[in-house]
Amino acid sequence: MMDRRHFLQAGAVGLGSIALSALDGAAAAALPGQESLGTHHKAKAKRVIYLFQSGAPSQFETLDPKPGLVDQFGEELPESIREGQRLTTMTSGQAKFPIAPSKFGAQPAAGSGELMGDLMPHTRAIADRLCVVRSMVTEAINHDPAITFAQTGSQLAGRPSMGAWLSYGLGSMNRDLPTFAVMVSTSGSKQPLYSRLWGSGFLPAQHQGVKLRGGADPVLYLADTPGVDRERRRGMLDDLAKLNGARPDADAETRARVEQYELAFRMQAAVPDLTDIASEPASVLERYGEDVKKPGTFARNCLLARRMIERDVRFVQLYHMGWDHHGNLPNEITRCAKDTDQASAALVLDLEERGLLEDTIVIWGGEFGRTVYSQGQLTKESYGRDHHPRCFSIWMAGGGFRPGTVYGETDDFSYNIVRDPVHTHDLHATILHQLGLHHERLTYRAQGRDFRLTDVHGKVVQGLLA
Amino acid sequence: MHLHLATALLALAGDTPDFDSEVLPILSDHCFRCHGPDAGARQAGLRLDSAEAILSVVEPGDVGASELHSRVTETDPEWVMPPPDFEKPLTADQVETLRAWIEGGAKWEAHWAYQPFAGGEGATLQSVPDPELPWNMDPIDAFVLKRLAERGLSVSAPAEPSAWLRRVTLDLTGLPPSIAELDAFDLLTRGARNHGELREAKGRAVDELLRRRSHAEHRTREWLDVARYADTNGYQNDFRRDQWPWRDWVLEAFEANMPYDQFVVRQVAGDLMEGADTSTILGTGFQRNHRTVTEAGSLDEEWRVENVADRAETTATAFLGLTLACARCHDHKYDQLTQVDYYSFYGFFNSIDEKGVYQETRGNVPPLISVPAPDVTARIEVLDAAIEKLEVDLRTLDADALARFRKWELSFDLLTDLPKPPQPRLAYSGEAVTEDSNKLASVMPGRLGREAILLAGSPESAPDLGRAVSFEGNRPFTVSMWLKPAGHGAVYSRMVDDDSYQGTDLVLLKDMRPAVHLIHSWPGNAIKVVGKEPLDQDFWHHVAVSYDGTGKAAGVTVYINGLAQEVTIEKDTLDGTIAVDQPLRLGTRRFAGDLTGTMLDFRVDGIAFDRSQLLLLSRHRALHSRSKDFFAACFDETLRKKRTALGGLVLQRAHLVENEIPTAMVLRDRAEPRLTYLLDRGQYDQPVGEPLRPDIPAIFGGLPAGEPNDRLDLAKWLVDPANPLTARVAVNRVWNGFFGMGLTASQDDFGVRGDRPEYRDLLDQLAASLVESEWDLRVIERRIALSDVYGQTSNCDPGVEANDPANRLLARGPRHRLDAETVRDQALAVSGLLKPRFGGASVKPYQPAGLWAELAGGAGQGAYVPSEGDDLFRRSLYTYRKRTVPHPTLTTFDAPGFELCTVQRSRTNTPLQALAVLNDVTYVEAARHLAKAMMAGAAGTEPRLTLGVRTVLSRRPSPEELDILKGALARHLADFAADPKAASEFLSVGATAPPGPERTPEWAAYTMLASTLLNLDEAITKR
Repeated sequence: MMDRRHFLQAGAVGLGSIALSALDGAAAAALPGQESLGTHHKAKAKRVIYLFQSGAPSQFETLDPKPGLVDQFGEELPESIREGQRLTTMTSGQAKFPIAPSKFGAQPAAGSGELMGDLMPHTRAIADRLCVVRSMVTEAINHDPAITFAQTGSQLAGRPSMGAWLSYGLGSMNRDLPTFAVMVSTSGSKQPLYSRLWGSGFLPAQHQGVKLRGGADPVLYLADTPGVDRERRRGMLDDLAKLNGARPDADAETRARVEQYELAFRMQAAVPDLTDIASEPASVLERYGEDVKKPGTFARNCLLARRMIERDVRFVQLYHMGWDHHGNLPNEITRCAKDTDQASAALVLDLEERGLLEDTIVIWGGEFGRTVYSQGQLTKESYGRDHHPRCFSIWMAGGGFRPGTVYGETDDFSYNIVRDPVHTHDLHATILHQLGLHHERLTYRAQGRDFRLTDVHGKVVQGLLA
Repeated sequence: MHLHLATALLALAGDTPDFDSEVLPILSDHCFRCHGPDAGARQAGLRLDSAEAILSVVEPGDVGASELHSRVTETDPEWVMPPPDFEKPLTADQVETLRAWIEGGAKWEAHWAYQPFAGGEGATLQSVPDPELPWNMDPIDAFVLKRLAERGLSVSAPAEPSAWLRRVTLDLTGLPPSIAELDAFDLLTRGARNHGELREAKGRAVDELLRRRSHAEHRTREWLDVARYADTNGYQNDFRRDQWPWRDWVLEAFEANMPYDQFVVRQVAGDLMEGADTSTILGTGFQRNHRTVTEAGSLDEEWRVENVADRAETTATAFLGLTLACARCHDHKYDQLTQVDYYSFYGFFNSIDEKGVYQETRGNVPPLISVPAPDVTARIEVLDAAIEKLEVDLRTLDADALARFRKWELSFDLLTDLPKPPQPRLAYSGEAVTEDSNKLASVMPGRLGREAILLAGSPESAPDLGRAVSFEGNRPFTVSMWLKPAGHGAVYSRMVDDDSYQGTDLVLLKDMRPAVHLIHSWPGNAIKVVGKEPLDQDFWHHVAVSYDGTGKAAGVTVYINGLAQEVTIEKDTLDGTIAVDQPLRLGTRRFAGDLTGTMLDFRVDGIAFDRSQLLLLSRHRALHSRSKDFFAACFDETLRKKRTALGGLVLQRAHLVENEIPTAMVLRDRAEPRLTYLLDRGQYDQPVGEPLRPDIPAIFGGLPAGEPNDRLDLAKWLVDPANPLTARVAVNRVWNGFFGMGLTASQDDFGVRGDRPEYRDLLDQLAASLVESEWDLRVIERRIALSDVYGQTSNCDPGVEANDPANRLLARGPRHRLDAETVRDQALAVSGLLKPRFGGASVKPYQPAGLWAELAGGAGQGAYVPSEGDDLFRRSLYTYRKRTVPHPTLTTFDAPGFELCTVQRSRTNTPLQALAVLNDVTYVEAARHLAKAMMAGAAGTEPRLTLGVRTVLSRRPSPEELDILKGALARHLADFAADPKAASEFLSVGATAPPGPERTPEWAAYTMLASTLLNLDEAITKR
């Protein structure tokens, strides 16, 4: 029988027998405060912030302007460009595919001198820090599979998200906060999200993202129940630890349970400290924009993302909903850009000033691109764009990605890629590479297969790297 | 999983390694990727996955002549196998295993799980009676004792009877034993004079537990993981569906102890069975639990293929433990499953009469089956009888109607008696719109045919009356007409066609009740009133909407046949104009459905008519037409009463059918089967080659010739005693329910890369016994529950645990954290809050506000509205399962997302779990009730504390524990006495919060203590 001494002296955090079996003999590193499985090569980056723009921003108005299209307003998109590419059933019945030039202007950006849309002045101003990719390509044509693909490397449900893979592969760097945090904001969207996107799939569930919410209880059940103050909770947890230790069969597993209660107690202090922005100077708040004062906005979430990175949270996943502009695009994209442009740029600058950008990867982008032709009626004032998986644009900053560049090129209609395609799998492989992981070696066995984030595809895109 | 451990343990066994457990795992892990079943990935044309093929590089008994050996021992990186860039080098031990195997004759065996059950010894294995160890000698015990003896290991002591009772009650019912049950069992076991009597006491307890409904609920809960059951469609929209009648089918199957073979057959092909009925067809709901795409713009075939693939893969995993999904895009890399096998299996499920995309469709999608509850069926029968009687009465009355009509007609002097109807602002009788002219003057008897406005049920044919009459929210109007509807739809509308719905209309709802809208902007700024009586299809009615211009719903009156209708006001917030630049149309409106039927005398007046004025209008037509129908509608009192009564009953029946007869999604094949093709790389639009005949994987020999090879043939094969997998997979799952791990740990993979069971002989013996018992799962459950292996204490020597952390050798009892549902259900049970209603629609227990809405309006469902009353405290089996936003505490405790078939949950330990049990209202409220029970159930501190500990942990506290608890209680008492406000707040949470004056510091102190007990590691662990 395990005696009390044994319980109290048990060394490293123990693992339940099942958790061990689930790890397949890998380093016993499944608990928060967990250890890394080890990197495969020297890492350039340690942390990631993914600013996911859900709904799919149009590349024409943002990162891949095509000013030449103004002369072709309303003309039919040449059949040779479409090449019989499949369309969603929202536009496959359209008799015409009239070219819809962007209503907005574009200017050369800092650094690369390449055009960026007028909707994103703040982002354009820091473009010398950005690695813009105009040649992203994905497989799915509808939101659910495409977002799932962007986040998990598979269109189908059941695979772990990128953050879960990193939690599993790299472990945690702090003792008081989640390894993988998720925050959600919206510009008024009809396109929902789903918690599968930050799920752990077949990985043990402690690798799933922890959603931080805008209100008083940023982590579910974090606030102690009414009438229980910190001192009462402390006293109760001490009783609990004593009683747990008093069991004759108390062992490493029991001890692990006690440690989780202690971690919970620390989180109860650490999370409010994280989300309380009272100490942020006015100059910083100003940089993120007026929205930063409202909890739950994209701007506030960006500021919180920086505060998490400062506290060594491994993976911070933001979602901003609202980019699905099938109609009334000019008005709606203006609103989305206004809600996200300034804060995204502020985040990059803020990280840079604190010396965190060099080992933090920031990613901005959606699940696919949009069509050059108008969905629904095209007028001088208004138009819409349907889904377009064949090319889309994203940007990255920090973490060893090459600053001040534009990678890849699309044709005059931003319909096909003419140079350097980057598949979503390639992007995943490249991000893992920067984090010191070989995408073919970060595997987990489930249902008889060794699964990867990149499935059986993906290659590291050296051209994106500094 | 566990390969390392298993290999290490078995390496002790003998000199020549066991092929299946030692050699094959090496070959499959390190070689098959390039030299295995996948022809597409095969290198150098070399296969190492069959007895014949491997002989090209292996010379049995002659290591030196075996190229396999020379290549794995090669040092030149150009030649060594596996190649270095494969990054899976062999260890020295593995090389040695291969060497010893070749030397021992390179005996090749088929993979264990594909072979028939190991026979012989299993059933008859007996152990030498040992007075020191009075075990039962169920074969379970005999196998384990034998194996442990071979290892020089010993078993653990039996668990305390109360520990055993807690364990077995949790494992069989998902709930802990009550104090009364503990006491009763205590009495029985203390009275037992020997092992036999003890066993008898346990046997009675197990038999009683197996009969409980909570047992059926617990087993159903497990099956729902496998069945990926949920209450929403999943994917992006994630609309509600109502599949719980299928869930109740599972409950009833477990309650009735349906033999497992029938359970399987019904869920694969219940619709094709001979004598298929509602119950057997409902079983096939299993195959429809997959997610359903409703996202606009999705491609139908792409997602239909996904449905079929999900069914095929789920069936293979759930019943066969096969990783068939690996062969969807290419031949399986490790198991002998080809892509042709995949699509042949897929073919069984490819002919369902379904679509792939149900664009923006809420609720269940076909094929469906109605599943009325017996009481609803009875109510419908009563209604049907009443309806029939009224119809008979009406026919009798109708026969005399003409006579009454004549009499009524003669009571008027047509030329002098009658005032003329007033001038309408607009009138329309099928020819042309006349404004401000008394078109009615020309309405003459006998011209009905020409004047009738035929509503053809399409927007194109709907009469357009122009923009002459405008409706304003601050001006009165009356719209009236004679109407003979053939169905439901819009009667008239003057409304914009965007999402504001600005304007006004009258529509007949699906149940034929009239509804009037006056809308500035829907839904926030509008009036909507709905009449309570439905219109009769194919009868004439005089219909009028009168509005007094007050901007209030009360100003809207709906008249049917001259009588003001009782109405329901659904919206009453109009503020702003309802005038729109759209024509007035008859019989059509966006999204309301287009009306078919006949209309007469459509007119709009600029005042709000009252009853007498409307009667004047209706009488005009009634008198001047030669048809009694108009008279009958408005003026034949007897007839009208009966018709109103009949309409009410018909409506009631329709509502009953609509709202109280749930449907479930089930399987139904199309008349013409779809052809199945292999899909290149699994892509829906890349069919290749000739059509494939549905079939089982070739390695199992194919279905017998002469059968139709439909799902029923598949189902019969699944439960054929010759099938090596189904029974093994089933008993392995049962075993997992007791030990927290299957005898094969990889429950989802019985293939060559799966876990080699430590006790294959035992697994096979149980599987054979399941088949022999005519697939009676309770026989297996009972044997396991009463085995002495299961009865061992889990409180074992640290050495035992260190040597075998996963307890694969079974030298101790099981111990692991409770499942997500059981954590909550136990808290509800020990606090007395649990409400034991069996079955029914899913319920919504507490959940932090805003979780659904945060993800864009809850993905089509708005906010989460918690249930009220008892439904807050039902078992977690019944908790509403929303796929895109699962209930947070279920997820926190490792419940799956219910999107895909899951046969093994992980078991983690996280701070979020701690936070949930500390602070979730569920547990705080439970603690308060438990505290009350402690205070009420015993007098004095120690008895109360003992009662609490027994209730939660099923055992008495040790003196040391009592000391800790007493100290804690004293501290809480002093603390809350000094802070009664905190005490009151602490007792204030949840739906059952007591009123302020009852919230005493003492109760708060006991609640704190009860919460401590609920948070104990032991409380959420099965030991």
